Amino acid sequence: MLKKLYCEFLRFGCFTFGGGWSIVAQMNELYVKQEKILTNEELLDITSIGRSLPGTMIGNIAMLFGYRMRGFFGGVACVFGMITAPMIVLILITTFYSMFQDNVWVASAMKGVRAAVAPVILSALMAMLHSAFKFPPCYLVALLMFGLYFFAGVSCVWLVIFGAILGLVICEYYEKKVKRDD
Amino acid sequence: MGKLFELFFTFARIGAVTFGGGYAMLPILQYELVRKRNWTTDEDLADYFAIGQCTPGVIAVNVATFIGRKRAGIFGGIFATLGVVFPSLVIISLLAGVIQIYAEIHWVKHAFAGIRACVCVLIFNAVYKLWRKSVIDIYTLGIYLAILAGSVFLNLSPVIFVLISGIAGVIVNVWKVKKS
Repeated sequence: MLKKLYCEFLRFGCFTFGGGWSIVAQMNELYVKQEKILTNEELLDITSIGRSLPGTMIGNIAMLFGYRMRGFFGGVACVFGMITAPMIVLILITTFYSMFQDNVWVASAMKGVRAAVAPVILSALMAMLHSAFKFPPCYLVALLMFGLYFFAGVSCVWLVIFGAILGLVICEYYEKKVKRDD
Repeated sequence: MGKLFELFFTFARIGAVTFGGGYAMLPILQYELVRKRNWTTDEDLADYFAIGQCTPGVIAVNVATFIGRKRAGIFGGIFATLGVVFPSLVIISLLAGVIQIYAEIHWVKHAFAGIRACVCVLIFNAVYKLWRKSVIDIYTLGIYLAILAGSVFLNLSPVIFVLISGIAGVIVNVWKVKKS
């Protein structure tokens, strides 16, 4: 069972690019649709818990799933499986990157690529803003954070604490209001 | 050996303060690796992100392997990667007993709605820093605008954007060499 978990996550790791969402899609395909050892709701739960706990989302999801299947070592098998392939590929690539970094052609390609990283993240950020804000005052919270961070120089830690409190107050208020209006 | 543990604990700390992953990591990486430790530059970090997009695996793991490998060889890469997933192992194991309840507690979700608003601001700041370092002339500005329009309006994989902009960078260089 541990070996099976390790091999399955090894395969997931090979076919994942960028963020972690494609692992969730692959888990859905294998565990929900084919093997039926997980329901759609359970996978959704795992994903939303993985996203909201500290730690990288995908590490949390792998650990949560493995833990559910086979306890602590099941989780470890999934996490190690997931990181094996990318680790080997990246160790090889770094070797070549260091060798060719100063080559004129590689350097000019990287100069172009570098300019593309900011807009790709920016468009992902726009999509994130859209899904992050459940209620209108949350936009105000973001604006307030923006001002505190850029103009008042408030540190990230305070910003996170502040954001958590405001999120709590605003969402509680709005959910109560929705219930009242019904 | 000291170097390996330093890598492990640095990336464990980065992993522990990451909520989500992927792009949300950029502000933390900038702070820990560029500003605080001087292990890399903003430009190199952008390269790792771009390379990480095109190779298998999630960005968190890719950046850790890359920087670990560059600082302390193959074992450096392994230690840094183990470090970045280490918090997940600890936190999930500790919370496994209460995690079913945790999902039910809706105020935890509400608090995170607020935290996400603040993560967006941090990412924006990181992107702004990256923008200042990567958009340095009229050509890179052109690439920036084209990719921005492409990624907002077309639903393509980032891999394609990385490849296109790489080719554009080479073409600009050929053109510059010919002109001079």
